[in-house]
Amino acid sequence: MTCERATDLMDGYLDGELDPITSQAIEQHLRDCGNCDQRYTANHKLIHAIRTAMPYYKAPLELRERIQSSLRAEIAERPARNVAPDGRSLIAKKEREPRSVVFGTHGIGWL
Amino acid sequence: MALPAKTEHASETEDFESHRKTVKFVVLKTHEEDRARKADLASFEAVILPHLDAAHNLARWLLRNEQDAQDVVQEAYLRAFKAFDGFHGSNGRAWLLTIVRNTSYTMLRKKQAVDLTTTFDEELHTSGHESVSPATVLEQSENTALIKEAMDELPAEFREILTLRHQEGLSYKEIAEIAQIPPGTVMSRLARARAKLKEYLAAYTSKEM
Repeated sequence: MTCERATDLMDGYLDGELDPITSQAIEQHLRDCGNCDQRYTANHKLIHAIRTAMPYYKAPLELRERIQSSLRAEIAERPARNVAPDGRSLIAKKEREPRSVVFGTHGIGWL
Repeated sequence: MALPAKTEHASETEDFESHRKTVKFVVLKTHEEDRARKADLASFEAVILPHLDAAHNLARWLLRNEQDAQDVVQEAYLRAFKAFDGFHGSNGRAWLLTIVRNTSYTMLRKKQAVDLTTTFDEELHTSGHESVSPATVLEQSENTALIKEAMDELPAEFREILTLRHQEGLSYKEIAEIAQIPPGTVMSRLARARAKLKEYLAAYTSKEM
C-alpha cells in the first residue's frame, strides 16, 4: 500500500469503517512507515480530544414541555379523519362533511 | 286526511331514527378518533421524543445559537409528527435528525449564512500554522472551550459531520442518509473536517503562546 492510499483511507480506518482486508493492509503499512504511523497517532489523539472535550448540548426541560404542548395543540386542531385504517370511509356519502362537522362539535351536549 | 298525516308522522319517526343513528355514529366516531389521535401521539412520543437531546445538540451546533436551535427543534418535531404516518423504519433517531438538519439549513439560509460550504472559510483561513507541533495542539485541545471555539469556526457541513460521528456515534451509512450525500463522500468529508479542526486548533494555540 502506498502512503497516498493509506492517507486516503486513514479516517475510514480510524472509524472502523473499512473491510477487514483493507484494514489489515493499512496496519501492515503503519508498521512499515514511520510517517504514516505518526499521522495515525496524531489523528487518533485528535479524535479522542473531540470525543472528550466537545460539549454536548442537552435539550433544556422547557423545550421538551414546549414541544409536548405544541404536539397536543396540533392533534386538537387536526381535522377529523373520515377514513378507517383499512381505507373505507367512516361516513356514509350523503352524511359527509357538513353534518359530521356539526354533530362532531355540538352534538355531544344534548345526547 | 288521516292517512297523509300518519305517513308524515311515520316519515318523521323514520327521520328521527336515522338522525339519532347518525348522531350516535358520529359521536362514537369522534370518540374513536380521539382515541386514535391520542394513540398516534403516544406512539410518536415513545419513538421520537427520546431523541430530543440529539436533535437539540445537532441544531445547536449547526445554528450556534440557543434560541434558534430551540425554535428549529420545535418546528422539526411538529414536521416529524405530521409526517409520522410515513415513517416505517426502525431508526427513529436518524429519521428525526434528517428533519432537524433540513430545518436547520432552511433557517441558516434564511439568515443568509455564508458558511454552508467550505469555500469561504478555506479562503479566509489559509493555514500557516503547520509549524505548531501536533502534540502541542492535542494537549491543549483537551480543553472544551478551545474545541468549542475551533468547532464554531468550521463550516456547517463540517460541524454537522463531526457532531454526527463523534457525539452520536453514527455509522457512515447513517451519516450519508442524514446529510444526503453519497456514502463514499462521508469518509473524505470527515477527513477534511478533522484536518480543518486541527488547523484551527493550531491557530488558536499559537495565538495563545
